[in-house]
Amino acid sequence: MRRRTVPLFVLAVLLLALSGGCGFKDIDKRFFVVALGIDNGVRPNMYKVTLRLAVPSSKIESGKTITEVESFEAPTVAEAVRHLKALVDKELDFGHCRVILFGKSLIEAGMDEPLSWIARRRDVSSVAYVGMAEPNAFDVLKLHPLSERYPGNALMLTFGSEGTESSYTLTEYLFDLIRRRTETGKDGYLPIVRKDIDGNSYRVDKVALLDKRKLRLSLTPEETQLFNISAKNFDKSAIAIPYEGTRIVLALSQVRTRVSFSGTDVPEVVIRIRASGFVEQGPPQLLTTKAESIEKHMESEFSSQLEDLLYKIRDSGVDPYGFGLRYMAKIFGKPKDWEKWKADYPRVTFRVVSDIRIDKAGIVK
Amino acid sequence: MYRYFYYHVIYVGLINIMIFVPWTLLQHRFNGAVSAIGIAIVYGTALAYLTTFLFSKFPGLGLADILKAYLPRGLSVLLNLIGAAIWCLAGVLVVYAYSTTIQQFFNPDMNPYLFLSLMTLAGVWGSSRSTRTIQFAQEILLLICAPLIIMILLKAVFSPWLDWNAIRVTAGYVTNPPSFVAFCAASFVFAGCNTLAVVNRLLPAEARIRFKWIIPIFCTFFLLVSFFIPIGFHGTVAVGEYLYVWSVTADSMIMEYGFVYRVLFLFLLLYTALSLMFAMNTWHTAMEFVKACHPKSKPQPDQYPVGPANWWISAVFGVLTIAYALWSNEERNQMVNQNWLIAQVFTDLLTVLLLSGFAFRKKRGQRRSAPAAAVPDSR
Repeated sequence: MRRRTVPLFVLAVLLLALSGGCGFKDIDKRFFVVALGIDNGVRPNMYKVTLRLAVPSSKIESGKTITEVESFEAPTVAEAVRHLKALVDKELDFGHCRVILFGKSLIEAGMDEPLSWIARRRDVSSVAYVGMAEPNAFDVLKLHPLSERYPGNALMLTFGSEGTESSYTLTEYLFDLIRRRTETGKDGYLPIVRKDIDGNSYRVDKVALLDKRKLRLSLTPEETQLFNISAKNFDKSAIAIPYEGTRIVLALSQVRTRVSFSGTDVPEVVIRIRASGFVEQGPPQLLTTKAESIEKHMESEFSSQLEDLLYKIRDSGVDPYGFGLRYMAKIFGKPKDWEKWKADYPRVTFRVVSDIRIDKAGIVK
Repeated sequence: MYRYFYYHVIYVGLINIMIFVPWTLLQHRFNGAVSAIGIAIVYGTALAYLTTFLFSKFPGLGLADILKAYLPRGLSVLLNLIGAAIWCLAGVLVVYAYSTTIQQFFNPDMNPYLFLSLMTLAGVWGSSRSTRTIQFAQEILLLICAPLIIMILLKAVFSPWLDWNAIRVTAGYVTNPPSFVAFCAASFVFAGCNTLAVVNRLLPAEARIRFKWIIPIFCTFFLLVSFFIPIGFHGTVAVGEYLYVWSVTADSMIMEYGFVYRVLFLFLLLYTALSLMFAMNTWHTAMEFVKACHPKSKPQPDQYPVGPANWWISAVFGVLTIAYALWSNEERNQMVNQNWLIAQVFTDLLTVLLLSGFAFRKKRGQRRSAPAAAVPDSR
């Protein structure tokens, strides 16, 4: 038995010696990038890359987190990141980079190059949140929110469903952005991240709509919420409708949309939307007397609001809803159908059929 | 007993990701992959049923033993060597593909041969065990992996970010004439039952393989998932641009309350086990084919401790893996993968044809000699 054990032991020791060459760096010799920002440089054809780096600290207390913000300008993002390594003392690690912001001017000019760098990097997570920073990514990343408990987590919690879930905040993942940039009949969108006026928190309540290359349209917060309800079926939102001198606010609990197309030459897009919820604000004696008329009123009001938004989006030449893809899926479209849809899209008409139901009137009548 | 057979069916169905099946299919997604998948489902099921049926006619015999009994020696040695080459190459390709994936996603600074040699060592050790040991190891590994597999698959299918419209658009290309390469790639998913070439020695004569419907249902599911889910996550166009398409797809899912939020790492962990399992099995099968070339060889599925021949032959496969890694690069690897996928269709077909010939001869009582069956234990 010993004759076999000894060589095995020697082999194991040799393997240990090998592991010196595996390029592994200890966790305390790494700098975790918690947010990445890319802007247009001051000089033409340059990119300014901003990294927000987590500085580990033993204190876990709101507002006490320490982050280091470093930025550098270079002709490509890759070069800038390579150069940034010379500005810090530890190895940069993008594995925990969960937020990527693009400056507004960069998106206006087109962001193909930075995106291709991100898509090639294996360590940038595909589920990183992306957004458009206004006025630029550097300013937004320099912000130090008061409520931050872990380095960089205020911005992370803003998106997704971990922390706050606001109907004004759209969530967009990196893989979805990359998919929408090439997909036939579906265009990208990016939530707009700004500094709050008082400068101690972020403000994410607008959305930017992109075509295949650059920024085309920014929606107002109200339109953003409407887009979130109708395109993403976001059900933690509210519809506010003026009614007989007051306003009724319906907090939604369930939203379902179905998109269909008429068979006419230039197709009409029919959006059937079913929403139900409970009243958060409204006139007294709401359910007993006028529930049905209120529902009717809300439906017509909501439909016309949504139709206005759809026409506005259509006229700017983008399709963030993915109507084109939906159309292609419905008819099992081939490239020539796609050409036809592209030609028809500026002329399509929209019809919104909404079905709003008041489930409860809150805990009063 | 027959449950062991289904483990083979399932892990071969799952390993397709490491052997570039989704990649091959996705490259042809607009010109014939969808119809090829349809044909492959029918063909693969038929071939799987036929293979299991034919092997059941030769209870307790491996493919090499059957060849020995019915064919002249030279021919049977030749066929054994072809079989060994195909099986061995499968293991080599998967170990190589997995180690490059790991290198790409875990640590690109790592020496690329380090992880490869670790995987190879583990594979060599595993494959040099006796057939029975491998069978048991396989059950344990697959049962450990099963919860992870189910979780990732269900997470993918029920993800709200999965775009069913893109899947539907691609499915609409079913009318295009099928592509041959895509057909070969798709039919690989059904190839699991070919491991009967060795494990048939362990099946007792009275054991019947029941629940054969598992093969079409599971393999069709795996095939559809590995083709359509990446399309649903990356869209009809962008999906063609990814090299490691399933790793990126796993990375597009998130576990908010898991220990690690990137599903990618779970996925890679899972495929460590599956790739090792695959290497262990394929190399073991290849080794049995090589051993059967020796005129005095006797099938010994329960041998313990294993003879030195096992070690030497497996070690050669290990060396071949390293040599392949030295020779290959991204392009060559894809070329070899495609050709391997095509070749395995022909060898599987050849196996079935040969076996049906032998079964026919056996029925008509034209056996030249009674083949010495490996006597299975009463276990």
